[in-house]
Amino acid sequence: MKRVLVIDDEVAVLRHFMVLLTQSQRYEITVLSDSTRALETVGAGKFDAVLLDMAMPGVHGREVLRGVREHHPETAVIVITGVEDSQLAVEAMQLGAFDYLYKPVGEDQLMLTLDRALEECASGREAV
Amino acid sequence: MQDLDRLLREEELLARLDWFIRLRWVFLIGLTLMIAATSQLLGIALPYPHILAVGGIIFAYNTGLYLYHSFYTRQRPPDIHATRIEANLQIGTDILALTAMIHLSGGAENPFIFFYLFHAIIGSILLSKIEVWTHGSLAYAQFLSVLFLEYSGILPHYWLTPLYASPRHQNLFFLLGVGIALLITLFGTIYMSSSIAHGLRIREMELQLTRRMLQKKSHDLEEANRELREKQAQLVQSEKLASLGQLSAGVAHEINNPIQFIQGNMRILNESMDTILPLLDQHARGNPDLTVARLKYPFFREHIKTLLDDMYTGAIRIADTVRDLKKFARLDEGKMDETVDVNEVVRAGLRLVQNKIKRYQVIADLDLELPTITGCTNKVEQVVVANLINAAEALGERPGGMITLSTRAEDGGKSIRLSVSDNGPGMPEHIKSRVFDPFFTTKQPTGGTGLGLSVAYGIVNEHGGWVEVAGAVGEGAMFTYHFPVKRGAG
Repeated sequence: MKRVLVIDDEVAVLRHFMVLLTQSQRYEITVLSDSTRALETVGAGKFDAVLLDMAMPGVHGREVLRGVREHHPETAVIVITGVEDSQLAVEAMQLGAFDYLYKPVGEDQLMLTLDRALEECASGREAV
Repeated sequence: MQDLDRLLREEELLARLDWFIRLRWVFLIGLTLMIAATSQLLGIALPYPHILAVGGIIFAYNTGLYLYHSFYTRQRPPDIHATRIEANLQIGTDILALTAMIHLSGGAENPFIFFYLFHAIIGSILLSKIEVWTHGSLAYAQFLSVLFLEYSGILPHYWLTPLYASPRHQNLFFLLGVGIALLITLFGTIYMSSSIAHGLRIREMELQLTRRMLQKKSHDLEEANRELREKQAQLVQSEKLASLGQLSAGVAHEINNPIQFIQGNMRILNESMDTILPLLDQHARGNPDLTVARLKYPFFREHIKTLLDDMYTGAIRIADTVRDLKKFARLDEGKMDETVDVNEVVRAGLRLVQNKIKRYQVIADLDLELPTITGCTNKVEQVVVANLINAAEALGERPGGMITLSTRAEDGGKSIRLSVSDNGPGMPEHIKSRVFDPFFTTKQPTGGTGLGLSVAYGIVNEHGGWVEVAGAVGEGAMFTYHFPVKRGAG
């Protein structure tokens, strides 16, 4: 099963994503609300994908994204955030995010994006 | 005018003192050439040792002055008093030396008696009228004394042989002629050059006055420009709030309806779980593979209550935001013609948020003579409450947190001011400039909606008042609200 990590400072959002992803029975879900521990968690967990919020107290999502791309390039990062900031979206894509989604994200769109990310990341790994 | 005249003269004097010394070097060179010319070419028999002695004295004190100015006064701030005394001494000494020279080279017969005029001109430009007239009179008196002493034989007369066939120091007509000529030219020169210098100074004075006036004008203009920019920024802020107000009025209405049934139904759903879950539990015991909503039953069972709680809390949060928005949009239009006792409002506000601020030291410094204002009591109370909450949130866990509320009459009783300050961390410029922006909050995680202060801003605007924010990082913060006593008067 693909391992997916969700990072968001709001616990209710984390629970929602956890249940939503569990429904599909295809992923192994880990959630994290403390962004200061993000890199350490990603490093320990060998995740295939990370769903990442941007505006978080502690470490900003931008920094988490940068760190993950640098130290764990095999992990795909999908940014899901409530901040409709096109500049931030462009910045996230430049930093190597797989996609940038705005909350609220419908279930279908989330699954589609996540599967595409996982597929791409798997083919990338084979190529390596 | 008099003072300025003196000031300009003294400025000139400070700049010219070195110039005196240079002139004296030129004079000494001229003197040397003159001595050479008279003795060698014209063969005049003058007491050259005496003349050289006087020249030597001039050379000595000029050297002294030169060194004094090069090494002593240059490192010091200019002292106008000392400079004036020095200038008077220099001119006095020069006149004395000149008189001695004139005596040693023919007295009244010497065509260079008009050298006094140089001193007269320089004195007229740089010294006050009294000073220059005194120097002129002293010079003239010295000259007359020389004539008298030579005439009476007390001092020897040095006859300018080739110029005059016989000595004239006892020729009264000649002496009278020379005396009158010097009298007229000397005092005429003093009079004319001092009045010309005075006229020039007045013109310069006018120029300076004009310049100062222009400087002040341009300073005033800058000030006005700055105020204008500030006012414009305030205007933009009000404009922003107004348009957002209209927008949020519509949005709030749209959201409020569904939020009503979401919140209500959530409660019903939550409650129903108390009945449903035990039944499901029972059912699951006989069906170990039971799934609900594609979730394995134990997982579902573990999370369903929390999920419902999350939704309920979320719905309440939306409702709170909408309520704040409505206030902001002034959907609950309050009456604006009440008589508001702001002191009373402050006390009520303190009671309302007592729970939030009880851990801090709160000082209410109220002006008991405060005039009442016309407006809406509830709205002014909102201003107080929003600021108390803001202060409490700024203070957080800080030990020694202090909140001060004060009211004062101002502008001769035409308006009042209400200020709320805290000794919290203060605000950097970029936050200070945005505190009244709707939805701007620095406490997202603790659930601030970012509307409290913008609502306060809107309310004060509505009352015809205005707002000030003070306090940089490390200085705490102070919000001051000014309300006119009568709306439209402020």
